[in-house]
Amino acid sequence: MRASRAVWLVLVAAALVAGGWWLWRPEAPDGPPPVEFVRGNNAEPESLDPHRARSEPALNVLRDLYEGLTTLGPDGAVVPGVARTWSTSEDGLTWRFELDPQARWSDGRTLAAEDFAWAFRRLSDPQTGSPWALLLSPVAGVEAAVAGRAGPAAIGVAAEGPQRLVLTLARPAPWLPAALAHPAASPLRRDVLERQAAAREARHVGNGAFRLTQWAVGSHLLLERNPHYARNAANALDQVRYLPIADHAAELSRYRAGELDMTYTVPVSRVAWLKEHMPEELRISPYLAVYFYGFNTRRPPLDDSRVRRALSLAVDRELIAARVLGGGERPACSLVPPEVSGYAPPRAPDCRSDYDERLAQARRLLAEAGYGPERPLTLEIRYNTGELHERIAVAVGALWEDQLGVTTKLVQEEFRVLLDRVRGGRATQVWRASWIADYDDPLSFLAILAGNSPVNATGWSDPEYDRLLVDAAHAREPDGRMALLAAAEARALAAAPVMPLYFYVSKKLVKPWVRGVTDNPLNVHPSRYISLCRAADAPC
Amino acid sequence: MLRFAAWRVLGAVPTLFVLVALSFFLMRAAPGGPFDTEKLLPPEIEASLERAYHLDEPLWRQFGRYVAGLARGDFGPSFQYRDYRVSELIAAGFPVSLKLGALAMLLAVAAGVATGAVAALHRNRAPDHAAMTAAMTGISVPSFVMAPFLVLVFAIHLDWLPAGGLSGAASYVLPVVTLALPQIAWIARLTRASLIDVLSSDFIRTARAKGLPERTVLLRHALKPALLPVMSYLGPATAALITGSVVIEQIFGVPGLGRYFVQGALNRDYTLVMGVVIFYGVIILALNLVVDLAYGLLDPRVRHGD
Amino acid sequence: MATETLLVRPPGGLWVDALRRLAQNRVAVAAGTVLAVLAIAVVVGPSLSPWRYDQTDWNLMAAPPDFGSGHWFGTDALGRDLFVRVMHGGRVSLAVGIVATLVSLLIGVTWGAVAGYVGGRVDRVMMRIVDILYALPFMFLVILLMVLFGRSILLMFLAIGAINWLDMARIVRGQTLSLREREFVEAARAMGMPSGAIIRRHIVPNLLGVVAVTATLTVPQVILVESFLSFLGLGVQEPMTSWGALVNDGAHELEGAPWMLLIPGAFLAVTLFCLNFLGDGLRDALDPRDPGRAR
Repeated sequence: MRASRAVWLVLVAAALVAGGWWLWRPEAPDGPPPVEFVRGNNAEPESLDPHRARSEPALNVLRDLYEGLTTLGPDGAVVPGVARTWSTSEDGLTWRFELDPQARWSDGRTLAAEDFAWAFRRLSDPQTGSPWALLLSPVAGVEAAVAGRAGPAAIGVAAEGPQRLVLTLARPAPWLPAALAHPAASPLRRDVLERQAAAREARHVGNGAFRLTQWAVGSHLLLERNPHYARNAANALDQVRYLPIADHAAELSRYRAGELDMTYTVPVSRVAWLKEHMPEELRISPYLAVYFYGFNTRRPPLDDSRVRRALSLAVDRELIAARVLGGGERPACSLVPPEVSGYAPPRAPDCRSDYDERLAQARRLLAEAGYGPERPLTLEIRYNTGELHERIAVAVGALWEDQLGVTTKLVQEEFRVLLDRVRGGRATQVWRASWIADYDDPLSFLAILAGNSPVNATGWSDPEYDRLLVDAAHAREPDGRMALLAAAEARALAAAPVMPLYFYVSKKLVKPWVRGVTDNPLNVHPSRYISLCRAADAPC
Repeated sequence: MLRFAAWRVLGAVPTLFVLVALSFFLMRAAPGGPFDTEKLLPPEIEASLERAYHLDEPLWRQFGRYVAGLARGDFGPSFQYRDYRVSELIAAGFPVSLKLGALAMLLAVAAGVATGAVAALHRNRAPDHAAMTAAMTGISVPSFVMAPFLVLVFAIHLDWLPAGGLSGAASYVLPVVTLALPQIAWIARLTRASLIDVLSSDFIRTARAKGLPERTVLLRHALKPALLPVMSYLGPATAALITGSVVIEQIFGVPGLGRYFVQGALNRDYTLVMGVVIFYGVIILALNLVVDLAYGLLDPRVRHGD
Repeated sequence: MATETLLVRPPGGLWVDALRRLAQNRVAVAAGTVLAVLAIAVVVGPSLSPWRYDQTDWNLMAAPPDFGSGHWFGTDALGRDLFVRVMHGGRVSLAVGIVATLVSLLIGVTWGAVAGYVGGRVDRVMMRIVDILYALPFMFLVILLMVLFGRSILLMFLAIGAINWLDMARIVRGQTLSLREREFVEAARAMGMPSGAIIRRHIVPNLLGVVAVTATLTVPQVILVESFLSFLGLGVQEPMTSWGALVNDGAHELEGAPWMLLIPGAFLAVTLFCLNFLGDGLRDALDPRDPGRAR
């Protein structure tokens, strides 16, 4: 008995020691530390295939791994990328792009125009299943290919030699360079993708400033400098580490503990505290996105535009922006944010006068529509899980109850359930939604209210509105085009099928030694513009 | 003993099958699908995606296809993380959860048994109350409160430990401690109750009457039988710990398995959810078997062979 | 019948004994008292304050506790009075705890008693089902149920209760197995009493001790589960609240507005402490081998 117990004890002790060694074995020491930039990235990228990636975190990483014909500068403006120059024909239907002969892939191979052509065909192929398939819809044949009526090989892209790409359009599109800066318009290596390389990292041969070295799901993505990048000399970072931290409070904790150089965002409840305690590191800037409530106009009481206008007028957006949000968000009474380039928004009727006047008008409209103390209005507000969404719903509900006597019921649903219900058009009255611009243009916002738009869940459609949008698509003059879009927006605001609440701001924390993070409305911060100035003596 | 184990392994197969069927059909009953986003996909694209993932087939056929894949050891592709297969995700997440869970369990057993023993020996006196009160904090303060509080104190203000991630020994401390705290409470309470039971039993009185020193009475005679209930608790508790704690993983940014349960359900990532459910089932069944076998070894009154 | 009572231990005697021992356990008595006070407070409390639980005070958002302003516990981030919300939250948390425990008790006791008493193949099948269900990740099930059927509080009672009955069933089965072999049950069977009556009149009353202890210890578990659901965003629907939801919201404001966490957190922790101590006290009181027991 004694001996066997001793043996048993020795075995257990040995197991413990072995386990301990395995857990804490020292890592191999490195050489001189590389210059590494650590940034929070909110969520795990669902894919690093430019045609399959959908979320902002994935697109952030892709902007470092790939570069398209055009790209975005540090301030978000469209600048030449792989294409040094381009020209348009007289009728605006033929575009010629001259590519940089120095452009290389991260494995050293020269970049060819055919790489773009193949990528665009793959993008338009329904088999790829890309959510961005219609990104290049003005190009001839793309819409037919996506709808399955024609093959992707027939679209209007052609490589004229190794360094010239020609795009043939079906209709003029002066905003095409902005669309081409999107990561979904990146070039791709046919041979790599078709070969199904063994190691995941080897599958991502890109032409951007960085290449993928390590992807540990849930932990981090490590990118390192791509020495073959044409403008590599201007790149100040050796490594970029993306941390997919979804919990914003946890991200803030790790930032404060010094583990991150830049966060993705900031917890809603901490903005006031951060403004007080860390004002120099907090960056708040306008963002091209709008937060709104949609109305189901198919059924009473919301089929009456007077009721919708009354509800919209009764919401004190300044109060919500100041007290509930507190992060510098701008109250929104129109759909398109003022930061969109070249756009002159129409006068928004719901933010015009002061709140008391608006409230009086709201009560009048509501009475006109036949609702009052004898016939009270009952509404359901649906929103998806989220601290911010809950606070806003509570605030809007409280305002409607206190000021208009409307009985509100709040229903929180999980995101996909809400989407499903809203799309089905049943059982919804008021729901929370938001829209982020895909590119810097008013059409990116106004298209969601078009009659045939699949994302228009309100059931509202206006033939005149649709006509104005179509006319704008064919307009040659930029000013004329903007005027048509503004007229369309004015019509939508008068009918109020949706109730805009505020325009987003992007909020993040940036350590004092980080340079090159320039605020821009698309909130895009490619790592190649970023540098770190930690040397105490040398000023940066 | 071997026959017992073999019989149990065989019996696990129908259990797992029921598990797979239950989770498959429950998941499918939830509204919404894996490809829903606010920005709608063009209809051809959506149709093409559904074809590629066989979502357009009738439900029973999809189920059959999945089970056939399982027989080949293939858990399928993840619907949400399109670049990965489910087996890769589980293979990446499990060692992390295992490390954390095992460490937390070791800490919990050590601290819990010690606390429970102290409490049992000084029953109803001050050390008992003090020890049990300390232990109970583990199950009176939710972990999603304890974790940010510990991070605030130790990572931000004192700067002794990292606030998240898993790099180096120091980063394990906070997650392991937070994970262990509720288990310490359970084990302390179990140990206390069971030790009190054992200490008042006949054979202990006999040992004392024989004049053996108290320490021998405790360690040689009382502890082993007192630990039996603790051990049978350990089986399911360890399985839960190992497969990850959602709260810990979210707050400390730990890439374990736990978050796949929740995220997978919310993202309608059918294959990932089912892969994780099956994995969890296998672990629980295996651990229960281990515990039962160990019971047989430790308690001479239990014989396996019925 | 007279012969019956001779063979059965009078249940009154056992319970009086246990209650006396419980009364001697000062910690358990203190715990019970605190719980009673809390229960009364959450029922009566809201009527003491002029504020409603869903009423926004736009001028005093996230304000600290201040008797002068009428917000005794301060306000939360949306300007709602924290005192009233803590009281209402207590109602919800305690209700969830009690009702879900009752659900799990009903299912678990029935299942375990039947399995333990009938024995044989029926027992094996029933326990097999318990084993299968044990292998399911419980959290995932509850999440799925909340997602499928929406966030109604009734559903929460049922879902949490239906998941927790497994432990109860196992314990009750074990106890029933040992009770079945006792003399008084043998005697009752020999006298021709039907099984149903035996279960009802002899087994179940002797199970009450174990069931009471397990139930008292299940309530805090259930309350914690509800708080975990709030952490995931699947708890009670706003503007209703629970201690778990309040604590979750407060955890985000720990540095800026600590009262939002500390006050509901204290209520929650104290309640859970007391429930656990009371349960342990009950267990000690019903323990027949306590050396301090008078013979």
